[in-house]
Amino acid sequence: MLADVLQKEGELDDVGPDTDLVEEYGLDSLQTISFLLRIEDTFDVELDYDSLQLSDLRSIRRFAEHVAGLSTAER
Amino acid sequence: MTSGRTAHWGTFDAERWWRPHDLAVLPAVTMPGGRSAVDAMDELLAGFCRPGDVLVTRHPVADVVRDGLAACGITFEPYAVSPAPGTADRPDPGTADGPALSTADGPPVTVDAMIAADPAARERIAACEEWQPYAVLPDTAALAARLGGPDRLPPVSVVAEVNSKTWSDGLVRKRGLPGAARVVRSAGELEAAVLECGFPAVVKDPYGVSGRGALELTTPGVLAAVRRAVGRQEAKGRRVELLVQPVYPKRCDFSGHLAVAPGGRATVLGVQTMSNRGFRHMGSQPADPGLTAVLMRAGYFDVLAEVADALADAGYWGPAGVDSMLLDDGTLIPVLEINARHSLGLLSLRLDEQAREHGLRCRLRQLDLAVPEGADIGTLCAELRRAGCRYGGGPHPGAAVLAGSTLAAPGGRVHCALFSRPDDADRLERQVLAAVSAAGMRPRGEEHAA
Repeated sequence: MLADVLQKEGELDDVGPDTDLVEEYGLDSLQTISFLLRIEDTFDVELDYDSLQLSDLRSIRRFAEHVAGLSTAER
Repeated sequence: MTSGRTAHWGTFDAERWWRPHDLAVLPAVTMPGGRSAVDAMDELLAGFCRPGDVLVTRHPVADVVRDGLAACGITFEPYAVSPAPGTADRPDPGTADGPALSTADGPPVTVDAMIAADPAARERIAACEEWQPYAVLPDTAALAARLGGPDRLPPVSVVAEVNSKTWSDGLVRKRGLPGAARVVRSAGELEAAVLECGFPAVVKDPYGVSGRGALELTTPGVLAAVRRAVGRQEAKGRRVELLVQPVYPKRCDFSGHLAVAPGGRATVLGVQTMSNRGFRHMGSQPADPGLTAVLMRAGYFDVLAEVADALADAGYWGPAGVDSMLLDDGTLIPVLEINARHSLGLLSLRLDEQAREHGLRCRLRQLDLAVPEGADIGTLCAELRRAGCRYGGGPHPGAAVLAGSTLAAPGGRVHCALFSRPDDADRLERQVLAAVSAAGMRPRGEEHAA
């Protein structure tokens, strides 16, 4: 999904869980929002854009923790 | 052209200041440093300056940038406004780069408001015979009134209206042009319009600009997420006004540029092709003769004349750019949106005029760079010079850094004018990217760094 948003299909094998997506891959605001919308669609969660922190989005690990937190809260 | 001096200044995120406050917004995030990069773009207006003109900017133009511009014949009298404490341009200690995505850069302020608060800046502008703000915003109109020249600019209410995509879409419908969008005024209408249009569809804010305010809706789930976000605002009393269009399979993006005189007489200045990344502007260059011929056959220049008439009828005068698209199947979408202000395409066109005097053409290129600690715009300029590809005027090709004075770690934005022989711009661009790499910098999110 991230590779699709970044238009780097098949090129993201080396993305580690703590890789800085903004600094390393140039994830911009439009790509970020596109990624978030697809996350909502795929994992059936609702994101609150007003409360999202930049630190929640810098790496796959931080974002996964954020989404997991949402899922727990919804149960 | 006037023989007097012209004052140039401008706020580049103009649409933000025209947008009615009660409109619902599309889901968005503000990335760190994003607005400061846009704010620092005002030094690009140097490209519009004639010798003796005054350029008032938010930040000082770096000496190395000024020297480089002077070498290619662009000179001006610079003045950097004095920021007021507590603004985004001079954050209070400890408040910069706050963590919340929606308020990352502090309260925004226009350079027009900063000028209004700076007597020396006001004096410099008042002393000029002509004023050329990048765009006429409410703060620009207030500044003009304070300087005793409220009628020297078109009314801000008109400027705001004609810059709305809803206004340009109305023009498209009235003229029966291809590419009309559907304007929706509720979350429910949004959903219905997208389902009718089919996936993928694009939804646009009437005051969105390149890279912001437009989203591609690829699946019903993504539509549902956007519908929820808009619906929540609607429930709180926000007004909904959005435009829905299909995602067109396009051959190229381009823009037609006009100058509309106060009496309504208009001049077509030229056509620029644009390279975009997603919805984001990355560069522009003159349309090649093949495209120009296609556009002439398709009646594009007649449409530009109609747009100019409509702008004049609405009470607008000044520069305008019409964003357009040629589809894979040859269909022309002549009016996607109208930018009734200065634009990067117009700047590129102006620089191209100068380049042609020396048998060269101009490509304007935007670079978003990751920058190591200790490096700055001087580092990049030194590498360009070392690589023998820094433009020094005349017929020898090279790159001129137009903007990037505030470049610093961890990253920032640079604009270069690539002056090259026709058909040789790609090679010069590769040289520039090699110099970027030699400076220890890296283009963010680009695949072809040298």
